[in-house]
Amino acid sequence: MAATGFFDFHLHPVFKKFICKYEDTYPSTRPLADLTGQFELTSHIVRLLDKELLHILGSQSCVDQLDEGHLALGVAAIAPIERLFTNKDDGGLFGKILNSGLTKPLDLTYMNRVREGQVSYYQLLIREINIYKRLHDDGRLHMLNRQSPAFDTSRSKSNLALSLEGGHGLCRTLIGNPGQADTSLIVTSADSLSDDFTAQFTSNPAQSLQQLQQALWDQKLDLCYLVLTHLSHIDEQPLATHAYGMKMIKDVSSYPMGNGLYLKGRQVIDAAYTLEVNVKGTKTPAPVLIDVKHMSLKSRLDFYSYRREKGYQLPIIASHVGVTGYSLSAWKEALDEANPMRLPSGEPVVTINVQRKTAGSWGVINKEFTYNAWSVNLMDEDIEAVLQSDGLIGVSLDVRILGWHDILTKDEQEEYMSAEEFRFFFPERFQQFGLPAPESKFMPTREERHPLALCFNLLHIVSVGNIRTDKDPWLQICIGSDYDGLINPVINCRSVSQLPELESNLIRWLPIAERAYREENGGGPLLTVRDQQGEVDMTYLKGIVQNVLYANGERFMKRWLTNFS
Amino acid sequence: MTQSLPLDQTTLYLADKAASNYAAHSDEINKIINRITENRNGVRSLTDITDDKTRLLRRVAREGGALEQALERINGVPDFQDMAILRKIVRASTSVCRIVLRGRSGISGYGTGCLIAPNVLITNNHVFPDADTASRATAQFNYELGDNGQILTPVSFRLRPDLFFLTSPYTQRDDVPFSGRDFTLVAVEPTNTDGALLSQFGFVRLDQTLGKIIEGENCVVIQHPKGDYKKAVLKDIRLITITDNFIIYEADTLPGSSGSLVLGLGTADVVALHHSAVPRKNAEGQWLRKDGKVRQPGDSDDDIDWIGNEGVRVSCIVEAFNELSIPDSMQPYKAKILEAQAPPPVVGTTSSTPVTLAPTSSAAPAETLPLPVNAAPARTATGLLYFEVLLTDQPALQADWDLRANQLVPGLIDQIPLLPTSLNSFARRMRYLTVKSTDNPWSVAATIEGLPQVDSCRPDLQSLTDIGRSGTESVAPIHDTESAFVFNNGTAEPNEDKFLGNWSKSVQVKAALKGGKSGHQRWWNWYAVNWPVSDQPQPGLSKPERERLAQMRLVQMDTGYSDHSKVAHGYNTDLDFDFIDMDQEAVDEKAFFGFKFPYHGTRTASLVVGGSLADTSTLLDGNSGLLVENGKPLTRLIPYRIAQSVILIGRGKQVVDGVNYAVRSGADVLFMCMGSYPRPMLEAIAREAYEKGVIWACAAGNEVGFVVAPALYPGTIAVAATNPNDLPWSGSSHGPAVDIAAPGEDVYVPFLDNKKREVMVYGSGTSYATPQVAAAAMLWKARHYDKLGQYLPWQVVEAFRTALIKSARKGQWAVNTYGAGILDITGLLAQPLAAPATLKHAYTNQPEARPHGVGIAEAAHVTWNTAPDTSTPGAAESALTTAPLTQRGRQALNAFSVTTPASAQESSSTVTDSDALLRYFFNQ
Repeated sequence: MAATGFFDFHLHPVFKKFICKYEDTYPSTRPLADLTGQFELTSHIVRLLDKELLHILGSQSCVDQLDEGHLALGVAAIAPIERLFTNKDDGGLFGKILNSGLTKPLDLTYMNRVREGQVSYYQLLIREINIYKRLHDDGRLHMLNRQSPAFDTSRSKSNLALSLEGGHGLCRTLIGNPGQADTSLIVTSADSLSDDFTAQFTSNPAQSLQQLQQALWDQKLDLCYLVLTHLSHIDEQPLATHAYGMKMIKDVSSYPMGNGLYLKGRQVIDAAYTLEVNVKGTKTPAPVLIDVKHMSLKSRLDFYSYRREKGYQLPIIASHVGVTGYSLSAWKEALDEANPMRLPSGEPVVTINVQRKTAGSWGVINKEFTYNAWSVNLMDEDIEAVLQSDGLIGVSLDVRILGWHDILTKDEQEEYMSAEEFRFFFPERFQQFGLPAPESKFMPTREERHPLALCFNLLHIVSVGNIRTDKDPWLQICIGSDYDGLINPVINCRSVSQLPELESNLIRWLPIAERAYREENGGGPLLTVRDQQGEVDMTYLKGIVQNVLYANGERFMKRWLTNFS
Repeated sequence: MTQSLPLDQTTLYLADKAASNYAAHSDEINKIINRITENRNGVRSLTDITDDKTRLLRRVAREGGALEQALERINGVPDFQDMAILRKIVRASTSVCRIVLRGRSGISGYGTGCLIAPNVLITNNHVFPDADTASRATAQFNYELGDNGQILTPVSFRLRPDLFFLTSPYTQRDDVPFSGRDFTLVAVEPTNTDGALLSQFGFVRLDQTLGKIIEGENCVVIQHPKGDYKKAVLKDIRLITITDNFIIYEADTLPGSSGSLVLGLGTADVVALHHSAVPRKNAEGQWLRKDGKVRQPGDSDDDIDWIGNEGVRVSCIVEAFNELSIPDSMQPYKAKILEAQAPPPVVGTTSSTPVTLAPTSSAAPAETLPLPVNAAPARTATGLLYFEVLLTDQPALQADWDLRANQLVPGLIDQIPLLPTSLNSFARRMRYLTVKSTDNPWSVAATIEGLPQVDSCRPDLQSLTDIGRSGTESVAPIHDTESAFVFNNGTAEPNEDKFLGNWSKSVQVKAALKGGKSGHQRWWNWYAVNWPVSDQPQPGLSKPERERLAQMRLVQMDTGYSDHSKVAHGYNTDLDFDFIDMDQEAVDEKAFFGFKFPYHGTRTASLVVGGSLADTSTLLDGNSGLLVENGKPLTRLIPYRIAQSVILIGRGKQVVDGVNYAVRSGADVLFMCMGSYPRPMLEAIAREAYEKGVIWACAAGNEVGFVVAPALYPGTIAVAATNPNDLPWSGSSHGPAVDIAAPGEDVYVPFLDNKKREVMVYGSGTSYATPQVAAAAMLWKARHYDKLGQYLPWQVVEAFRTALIKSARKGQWAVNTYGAGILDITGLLAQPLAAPATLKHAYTNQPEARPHGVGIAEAAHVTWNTAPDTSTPGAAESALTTAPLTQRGRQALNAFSVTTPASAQESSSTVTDSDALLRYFFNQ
């Protein structure tokens, strides 16, 4: 058992309870006891759901579970519900379930208001922030901020920083209605966030971020990082092309559009990296880190190049990721199939199927251990960019991201890419395309889980780090579980309360996975300290696991608290 | 199988095998049978019979609509079924035929088959085990009773296994891939000896996705039992279970005929190909008869106690079809089957109609020709019609439509929201329908518009552009006839002498030549728009502005691009798309043919990004694009091909798709240099672009008098054309909708001469005025990019319009005709940005769009697509429509027509005031 508890770079502790009740007024007046417990589906619809959906909808990281799991430190991500989740007509099975009225206790008012464009993403953001603020004020959580850069060491509560998952959260106009400012917030007791929102409307996302951070600091909160995109294309405010990542929901906006970083996205990056807030009349640096998760591959490449162009030095982070196991050129080589497609509304996209890379040599079941080759996962160049910038990689606990599948049909393996970006990476292939085919039918995925998949992802990052950088990659990896972010968690760590179990699993499986990884991929040892029999030294191994599960995160967050000075 | 013959070895083998399969699943089967009994007794709902939640949910998803209602509908299937489903079943039954097997000595048996592609039939392998058997058999359609009990005339066709034959043996063998699936696909002669067409019987689609049926739901079997007249088994026959390759369903009193079509009653989808009955067996494995005794040799199938039926699953057939290798010679047939079986393109699974039929008309559909003359616009080769539908604004009626559109619109294949991501209230009411029908599209539209759920319905038909309609395009006569230098094959010859003869004294040509600037007459439009012609970088542009211009998106909606050297380097051919052929590149395909007015996109593009002619020896070069400095484009133009040619728009949806993608992929400025008559969907997309902050410059129109769509919509920037004397071009459309004018008469643009050499020619059109405004919009937006970040998207468009109007050089024309004045780019860029609060939304105080009725729309469509002055009722069928006017359309046309009384010498004549009709239709 780790002495210091655990660290998680990306999780959503209040999300599921937050969406259980839509409150007409701000701030929230819900009893706190109502916000910390587990989210339980009570409807008879449950009988219709298969296990995977149940796991996704079940509670994974509610505040009570944080305590159980000894989560000492982490980053709470807020991802305002995007409109694609509210598509009940042709959003596929998951969309139907979410919007059926049978998913009690989920409050459909949320879904309806989002679908009908009666609220802004920004309002959803500050409402959820308000829950954290209340839990902080009540002593249930300690929200980290750079004005008082200290952890709560009482060990009675988790230390959490805030992050925003998806630049759509900066959008202050009504959802889908970029011409209309959201004036629907009814404030009963004003605070800096509501004052800013109601009096300082801006349609500029960069400005919105600036104002958000100021308002947060005004109430001793602080935004640690921003994920520029999320799971859908936000027509009203495109910042960067997103990576396809959501097979469960079918919606036009789930398909990537565009060609990397947009001008507006560059402006947001500029604002984030150079952000200053006013503290008692003094300009104080309060930069926000940029997280490359959910950005399309081209967006990420654009981002690295833009950072170089502008000379930005802040660490790059990847908060809840898996790896493809490929370098960019190897990934391009592994492209199996690609087909052009037009959505009914005419938008071109390309379905691509990339052969999955085997993670480790595993005898007869060898091929079951492969990485997920979807381009949302990190390429070796991404890993290199993060490590070189002294950033931190949080490895997701979502089995789908980690790459472990039971039987993988072609349809499950397929992802979608923006037609423009496909053309960027595969210009010759694009020339050979015939007429696009209609979209293939949605098929369910049936995945299984295994701790080895997690180990293989960790090991690949370390291997790439060893080869491509002079950093010690073991010090730049942590867990970014994405709990309660609609993930299907690994079987041995279904929720944050099971983190101790994850620790023992890593200790057990890492050496085995390392052997398998090296047999398949070659290269030098990734676990370097061995006893005389050549076995991995147990003290060393425990140290590494503790680093991954806690110490690396703590060190990074301490650096953040001091602005990486 | 002939009547009451002893059971043959094949039947015995298959039935034995089916019995084994049945026994292997007996626990499951018993459980389901008990539950079905409970359901029949009313103590269990149908959707509670299955334990397979995934299948149930797929089935629910296929119903569409809200979950509770879907469950309710499924549970009602045994007792109530929508008429639409029955109609589909009847349509599917048309494709089912009797197979007459012939041996050496005449008829040797019967089976059932069904067409699954225009010329391909499916039946069991044990009916057609080999090509030889098939070659001796016939497929007999219409072998059924008529409405009065009379026997219809059967129509027989020969089978052509030599063209296509694919089979999976009924015996399962390890060495034969996909064996044991007991099906055969075989080609059928398309015409029989009497000249009857096979196409009249349509075909069914085999949908391999899940959710067509769940355990406990009813099956409908369409068959020729024992070779008898075609029958559908409508008894309460339930699906019992689904095994790997087969489905097992309840038995009728007789075993089904081999090759019968098994449909799910809930969805009318084909679920299986019947292939065997399942006999009851005793503990020793012996078959039992209905009298309880063991089967005796010589017993016929009537004697056997059949306890179930087994069919081959559609998914297994499709899988084998996809995987089995086929000789090269048969590949074309495979492709045809794939084409016939391709589902309609839909996102999601709720709205696809499972059974589709080819048109029942025996007339072969006409091919669409590249030229509008004699084109068949209304129907595609597959008999599909397209409609744009505006639903009523009443929410309950909208919800009802969403729930029941399949029933409300016969033949509905698919319907999608026109702009799925739009939240604009008008756009959200718009649907785009694909309907299988052989009726007149305007009649179908009138029927749909008659529904209480619908405010307006229009067929999406080919239409002429303003340029196509007027017959004038880019190269306008310079006080001469067009034929003097532009020819119908699209070539032209240099006409500078004529230009100078006409315009050397004009204000702008004089300005261009002032100071001895030789050749600058070709650049006169630069002087007119006040943008310096220089060999140096534009002095007014900063580095950040140049960087932004390089990153911003300027999209051209036109006929596509060509490799004309004047523009070759100005296109962004990494981001172009074709919304006509839906392929990946916006090449102007007509640029390669002798098509009238090709290269329209090339010419309009040259005014923005035109560089240098490759051949400098001609000394014809001049007039670069406004966004080019020192030969290098400041931005690269993204071409979207949205029109087949400059004179023809194929379907309005293609324009909508192009603009929608431009908007969704983050276009900053769009321009479109052609237009047509107004349609609700163009109105919706113009509003959408506006609300999303895309500046859309549109040509006001050529030679048609009034402003065309989309320029006429408030959200777009409508551009009229002026000449070198700063006066309006006589062909330019004008009216209050016009925002601005720019040089458009006799502007220097690229062309090919009659030897296909690249030349430059003076030509005219609002098409040429428009790109200059688009270029100005790019420069303006790059200048104010940071500040505009604080503007709402529509305010960006309005701030541009305001600056454009304020900075315009005043024109010598009346108000509300050619806009605020002539484009002045330097003035525009110097113009301070209007404060957001001072800007007025273009749609404020605009009445909600209320499209004209379908009758007027039809009359306007016909009138628009007919050359002026020739349209008279009866004779008014345009080059673009083969469908005769409906009565409704005729009445509308009559209302705008005057009949002159007959005189002694002449008969009476009717003249339509097409101008009045179109003005009414255009609201101008």
